[in-house]
Amino acid sequence: MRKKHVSIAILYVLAAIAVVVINVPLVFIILTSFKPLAEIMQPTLKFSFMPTLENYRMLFSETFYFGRYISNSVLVALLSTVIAIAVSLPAAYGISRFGEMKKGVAFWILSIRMVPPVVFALPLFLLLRLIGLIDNIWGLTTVYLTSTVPLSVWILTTFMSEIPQSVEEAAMLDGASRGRILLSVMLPLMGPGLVSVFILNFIFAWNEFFFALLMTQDRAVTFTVGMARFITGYSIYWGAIAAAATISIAPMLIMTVFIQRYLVRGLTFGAVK
Amino acid sequence: MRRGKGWCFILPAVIVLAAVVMFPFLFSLYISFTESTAYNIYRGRFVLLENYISLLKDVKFLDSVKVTALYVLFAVAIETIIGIILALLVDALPKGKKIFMILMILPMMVAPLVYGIIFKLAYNSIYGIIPVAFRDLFGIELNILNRPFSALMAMVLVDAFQWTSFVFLIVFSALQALPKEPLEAALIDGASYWKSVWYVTLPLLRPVVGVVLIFRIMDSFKVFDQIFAITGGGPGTATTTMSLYTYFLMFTRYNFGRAAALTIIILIAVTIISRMVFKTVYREVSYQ
Repeated sequence: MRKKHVSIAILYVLAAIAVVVINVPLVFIILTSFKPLAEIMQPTLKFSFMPTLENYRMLFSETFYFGRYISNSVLVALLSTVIAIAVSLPAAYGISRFGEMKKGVAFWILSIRMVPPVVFALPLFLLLRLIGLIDNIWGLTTVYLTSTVPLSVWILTTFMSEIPQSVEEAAMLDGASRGRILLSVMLPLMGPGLVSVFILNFIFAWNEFFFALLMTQDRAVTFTVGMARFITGYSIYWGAIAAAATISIAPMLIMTVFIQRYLVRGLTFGAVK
Repeated sequence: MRRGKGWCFILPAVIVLAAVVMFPFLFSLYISFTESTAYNIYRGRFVLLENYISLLKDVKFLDSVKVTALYVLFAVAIETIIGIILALLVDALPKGKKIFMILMILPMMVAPLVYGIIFKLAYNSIYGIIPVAFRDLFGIELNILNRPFSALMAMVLVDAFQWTSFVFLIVFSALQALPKEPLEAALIDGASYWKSVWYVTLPLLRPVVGVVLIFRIMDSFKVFDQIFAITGGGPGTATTTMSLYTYFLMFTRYNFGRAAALTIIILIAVTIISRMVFKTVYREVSYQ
């Protein structure tokens, strides 16, 4: 019996070490954001430092525009998420309730998920340029729909398939139309599905860098692009950039707790539940 | 149920996807057959397959294919092996699995660009924590990002730090859903715990590991953000993956025709692979 206790204790120690090691980069940047700049850039090993909020103060000072970058990111994330849900909800209903077309549409959407963003980037850049939507919130939102719509359709379909047919058959006997059933019967039952789709889309848009780098220049610059501008110049403000990185990380960590139940389904497009 | 009605519901999503996905693809295809550059983007001379042919003779393109292949191979191998081990470890805990699970998946929720920033700081040859630690503790001067192979492996390490958690999460969730009886039977027969895991649990995981491999291969194939932030593709072309090369063709050389041809080649490769995936994996593990 004692031997068993010891081996369980060893398992916990190993698991704790694994958790620490895997999160070392995140802890490192969060700690760095509270270090004075001189200590970040010193060439010797030293672990103690006087914590300071100077980096955060600098980040939001007039010269850096980070308030605007963050609000751009939030705005694009909200727009691309809400539009995606609006068109995906009926689609998910159609796919889950009218089975014949499921396979074709499902494959099409899955293959869009697999396409590297660089493939969309060139034509979308040229087309947006043609209609003057480069460096525009709506232009970037349109580009993000290439990811948010397939993701939303797929996840909402898996949630919709779990609602038994009998629920809507009752409503249908009462003479309700299909559209009405979707809005007043199905929608209220979709709570967890909608929340997880919202969060997953939001995470995607908040973290996205490649498209934003290409499609924005000044007014519509998002958080990630703003951060990248910090580290490509000649003098790197490591303190401010560590603070920015910490601000970018924080909401994601909170969302992890809410989303973890549905994360697998979202990430693998339903291949694993 | 009548067939026509289903399409009414799907139509809005199909229209949106046709506008933002299908139409751009066709446009890209058109551009790939023209000599489109910064001066005549939309009215380039029609050159048929010239862009494709010159691409296949382009040493830098072939280099980027090699770099991408090495990157995917190393990153996916490391992440899969460590991710499976971690999943088995956390799954073996009698209590508190969930809290360990949440702590384990934090890395993959963060923007890849943020990982780029973190490691750009950590790799800095003057004040980065990794070279500084090697200098102070072992007296070794590291120039991680100056040598081609070590720079590429440094990029692989960044990927591994972030995406091992993805492998962990998928395998761990699959373990929760696995029937417990085969493992218990093996234990009752007197096999040791880890031996039973090796011979009983791992074979049951094979389809899930298939899914994980496919998603990781596809996603590491796309890699851009971290490498762009840390090395910008250097030294030389040592870390220029296909995504970075396409980006350079587009936005530093403005060779839109050739860049379009490259994206079409990527697209064909990805379509073939994902069709195979859909046929095998989704039938086995099955959604529904």
